[in-house]
Amino acid sequence: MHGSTEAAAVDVGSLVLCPEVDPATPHRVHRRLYTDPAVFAAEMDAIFGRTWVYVGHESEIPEPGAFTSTLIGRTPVILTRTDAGEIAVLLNRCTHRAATVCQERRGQNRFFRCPYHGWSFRPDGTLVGFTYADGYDDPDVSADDFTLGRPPRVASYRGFVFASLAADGPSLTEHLGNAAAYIDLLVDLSPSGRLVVGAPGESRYSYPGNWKIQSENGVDGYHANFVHLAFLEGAAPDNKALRMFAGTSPCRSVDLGHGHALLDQRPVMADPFERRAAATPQGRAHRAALEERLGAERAREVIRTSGGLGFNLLVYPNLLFIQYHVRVVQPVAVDRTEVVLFPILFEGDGTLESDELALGLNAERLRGHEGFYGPAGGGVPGDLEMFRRVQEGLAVEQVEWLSFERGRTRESREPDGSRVGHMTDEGPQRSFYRRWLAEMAG
Amino acid sequence: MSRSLLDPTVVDLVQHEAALLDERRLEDWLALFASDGLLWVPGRAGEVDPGCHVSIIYDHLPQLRARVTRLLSGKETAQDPPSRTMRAITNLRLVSEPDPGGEVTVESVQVLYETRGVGAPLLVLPARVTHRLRPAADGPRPEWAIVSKRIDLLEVERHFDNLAFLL
Repeated sequence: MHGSTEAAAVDVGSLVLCPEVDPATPHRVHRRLYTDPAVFAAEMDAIFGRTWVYVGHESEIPEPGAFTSTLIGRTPVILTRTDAGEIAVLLNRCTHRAATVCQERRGQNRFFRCPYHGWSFRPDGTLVGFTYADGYDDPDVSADDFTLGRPPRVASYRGFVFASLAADGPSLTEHLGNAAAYIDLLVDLSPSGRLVVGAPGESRYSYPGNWKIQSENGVDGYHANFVHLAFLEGAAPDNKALRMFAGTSPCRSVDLGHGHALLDQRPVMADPFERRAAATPQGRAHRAALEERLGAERAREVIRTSGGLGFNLLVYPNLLFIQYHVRVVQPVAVDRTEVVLFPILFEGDGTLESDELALGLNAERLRGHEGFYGPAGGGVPGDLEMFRRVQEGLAVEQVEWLSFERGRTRESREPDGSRVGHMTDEGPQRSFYRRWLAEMAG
Repeated sequence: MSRSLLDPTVVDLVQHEAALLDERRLEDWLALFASDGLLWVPGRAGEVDPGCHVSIIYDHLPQLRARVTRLLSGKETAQDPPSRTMRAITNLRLVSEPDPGGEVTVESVQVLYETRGVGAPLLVLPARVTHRLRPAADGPRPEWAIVSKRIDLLEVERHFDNLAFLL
């Protein structure tokens, strides 16, 4: 199904209408982006085969031999730590006859042992030796030739590890661009500066629809007051939540460039965040820890953002930071997507005071996460319902285009190149599809 | 510890609870819970530490009340149309003798069948359900109040679709 022959057959220029390419057109995306297996195959090559893709967090692999398994597009990989303590990303494919060498999602072991013929690989990917080695009597065949493959590039930013299947391209820092500052805000919220991802588990869901529907939705401020009305009405007695997503909201959507995007809830939420931090012993301890580590000014900014409570961040193409979690959108097929949400918890610095603070904040974070973002939460099921309906509606061949025009003429350009629009505008999606078009057109 | 002969009022409580859910009488269902009652659907098998590991649902009575209000509001997109469910209950057994306060723990295997609207696929969710029950003086089912209901889904590791109906 995948392959460059099919990829070449997709004329992407005819599938995304973009006024910056042709001023005569509105901003529209063709239904084939969500329904055509050839487009999906081309995406796996041109996007997931090239760009930086998130593979896990450093806290998931604290010790040599600790590992998690994941996918880059459709390519199974293992994130692990070598005996020398270095981060390694390995292709999860036995160099002998192709079986995956790791089936578990997470664990700790000394070797990845292929169960088919017993080949064992060290965490750095080197083959320990052939089983029944006397059968490998050709002097030109050596165990050294069978080291597990690796993606050519691996880099991490503030503990979040990314890999690229392409040898060349922009650095991770260049790729993240304006998105990096929001990852900083999120990481800095930890009282100790340390995060824990993976050990707290994950929420998982899937839906019968294309992966891009979830990437679009994660930074869509337009749907909340419709899809999540029942939850938002119950969430806050003063309807603060509803105000955030109303047509009159002071909140913003931001096209950060490079396909990344942001919903910025701070114009409504920053003051309440700051008041809440002052109102309880736990909040005050949190603020004091941040002030000591970051200084008063930065601590205030960090608290007024409260990480993903203050924003939704899309890191192109398939990574979201929302509320208390990091979310990975995993394409399975053109009309099937799996999504994994990893709650991000805090780790104390080992002192009783710091560990207790982390424990208290973590319980709050977990309950807050489950309340909205689990498969039985107050928010995600409604979104899943919409995703299913979008894919169902896409079966109508007679109507070819999806519209992303909302707020196009009222967005403003910032000095850093970002474009700012109203909370409910579709600038984030335009950002995504501009980048999509550039990558797919090669 | 397990006994084959269960107090019939315990059996009745577990079956009555399931019937209220299947009939979508959620306000009546809420009334079965003690004021410190908990509904817990762990996020992994054998979970012992919901403070450090994510659950699917971890609702004490106030959150549970908000959940029911939302589900019955007529505005919940995830329940439009609402789910139709059947809970089949089997292997009911007492797993702890009454403690000094008279509380007992009872376990059952429940298979939850769910569908919605017309033509939605049938979802089958087998689970081990653990009820912690406290003798209650009043309430619609006077014999017992639910201190906690824990639902351990057999397929807890899978990628779920819309589970808004799960209670």
